[in-house]
Amino acid sequence: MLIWAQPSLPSDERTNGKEVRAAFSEQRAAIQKCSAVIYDGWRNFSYGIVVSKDGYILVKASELEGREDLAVRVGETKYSEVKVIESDPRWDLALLKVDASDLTPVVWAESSDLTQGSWVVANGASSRSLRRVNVGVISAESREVKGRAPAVIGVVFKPKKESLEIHVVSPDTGAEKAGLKAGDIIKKFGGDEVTSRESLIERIRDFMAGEKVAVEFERDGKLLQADVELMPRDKAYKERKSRNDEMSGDYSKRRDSFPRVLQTDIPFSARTIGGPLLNLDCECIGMNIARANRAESFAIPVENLKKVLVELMKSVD
Amino acid sequence: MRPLGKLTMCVWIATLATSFAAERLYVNDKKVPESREDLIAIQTSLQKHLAEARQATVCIKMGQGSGTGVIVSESGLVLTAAHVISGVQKDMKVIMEDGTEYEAKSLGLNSENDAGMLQIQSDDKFPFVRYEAKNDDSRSATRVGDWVFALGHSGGFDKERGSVVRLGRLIKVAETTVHSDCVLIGGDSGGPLFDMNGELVGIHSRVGRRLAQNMHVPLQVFHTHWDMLEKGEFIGDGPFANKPKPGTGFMGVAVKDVDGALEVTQVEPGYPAEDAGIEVGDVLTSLNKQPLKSKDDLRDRMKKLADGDRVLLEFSRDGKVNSVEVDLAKR
Repeated sequence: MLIWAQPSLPSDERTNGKEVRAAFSEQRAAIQKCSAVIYDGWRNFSYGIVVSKDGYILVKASELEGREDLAVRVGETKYSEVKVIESDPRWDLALLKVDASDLTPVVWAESSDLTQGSWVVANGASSRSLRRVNVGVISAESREVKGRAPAVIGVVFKPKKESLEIHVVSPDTGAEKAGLKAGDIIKKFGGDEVTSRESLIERIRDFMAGEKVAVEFERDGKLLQADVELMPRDKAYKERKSRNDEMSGDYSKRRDSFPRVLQTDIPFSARTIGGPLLNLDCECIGMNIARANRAESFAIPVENLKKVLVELMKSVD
Repeated sequence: MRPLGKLTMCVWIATLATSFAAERLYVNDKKVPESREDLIAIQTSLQKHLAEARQATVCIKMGQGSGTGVIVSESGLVLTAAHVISGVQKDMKVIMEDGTEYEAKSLGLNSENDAGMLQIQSDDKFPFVRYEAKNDDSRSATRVGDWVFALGHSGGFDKERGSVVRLGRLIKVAETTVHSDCVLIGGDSGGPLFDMNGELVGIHSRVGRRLAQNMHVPLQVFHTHWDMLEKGEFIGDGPFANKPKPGTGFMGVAVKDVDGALEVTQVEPGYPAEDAGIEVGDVLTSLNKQPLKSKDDLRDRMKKLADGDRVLLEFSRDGKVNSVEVDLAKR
């Protein structure tokens, strides 16, 4: 029972409330020009960064999958003719082109090296004419974010045993198709000796779902070999969401396996990712690349963004 | 000359005194920041205290799960959430920012308000933070709208990432809870909430359904029962921790009376006796240093013990006397 309480803070005055965001009008004006809204038909599903006057836009590549009716809005103008030039799956970046001539490209910061606790600004909600902002701070150390769940072969190992003895082969997996059976003991993976679950997981990390890997195993005293196709973890096992994932609402589909990220506490949704991350000087220190969970969001640092952009531009004739 | 000198001296001491009494950040008295200068003032305050705050913010490992705590004394007294330690006098580990692990023991908890304490078991000197002093009326000195920052080991310890900071404002200030819009997630529980002077004002407790609903235990709640918490007492009847119920602790052995002691006839797989290395044939001689006389004696004594209790079991095997600690479990 509450014996006393001060009146609650009105929502307009909260960290991402209307009145606090008004203090970031300069940064909002920059985002208005240098961010692009990406549509599938009439529904905006992501943001992008304007990187040239004539309409090159950098976006989050995996968000383009399955989109049938791409359109891009910069400022108040909507562009319905959108070309997908090239993509970089490692960084999850793609280059789009619209037919424009007088866009204001983003101003790149010299360095993404902002001290933890520094203010940063990104896209919030959008209307047809206005780009709003969401704000926060650099929240943790920049680093590589490895894939959470490596691809799997589709077996469950005998519990309480150190060796890689198969307990169960899951149906419709690479392991089943390759003929692995319960009781087989896995000895080598991709040519390397594996003796424990940890060593196997480490080796699997070097491969991606869809790849076929040579697996050497022992059955009835004989050494045999089979090529096993790796699958994404959630296809092989109908895994329930972790408790943190349940708490997180929506998060980006691709939210890991980035060679390097900045981390912010900006309250993105999966749909407000993809635009530029600005410092208080309105310079772009990165691209918001993933809403990882309720409390963590990632951005690709400007140094890496620029390098990838140079490579992607090479595909332009 | 002398009177003037004295005056100057008084002025100098007065200035020194003011700089020690932390001043309230001026932006806290504005409805919202209005200028770049205001934003920089918030950022500067945060960054001034961040390194020190991070050093004292530890990850707490209990079994498979983890939470966060904050060190408030040089000797390693840690404030955390009741639901993180979940019981009194339990062994757990803390992990410092640089990855160093220490043994720790939970002290007391307030199961109604989610306050908990832990003591790091080491003679080392620890980095620690200042915390809000006890107020006579139990009211927090913080106010709705105050800028605050939260630290925590979100999702578990990650050395490369470090603890995660979130900047926000106090949304609600009440006697037994404060709310902020610093977004929390699993793993943050028990972690620190600081004001812009780097003073600890709250401990993270839980999240609500909306992103902006994040609940913390005010420091005043710790002050209300500080001595009892330090002494390791279990306060209240939940819901943030369950009082251990007598008669719920099991070792997992079957015994038969033999010459005024008990011979183990069966060891149940997956239970504490097996984990502790007890084998069929072992003769149990004492429990918690008191001799075991019969099966009935053991049964009566176990009725008083609960799931999670640690007991000292003495037994003889092949003529040798051994003793082992057994953590009782639920049946």
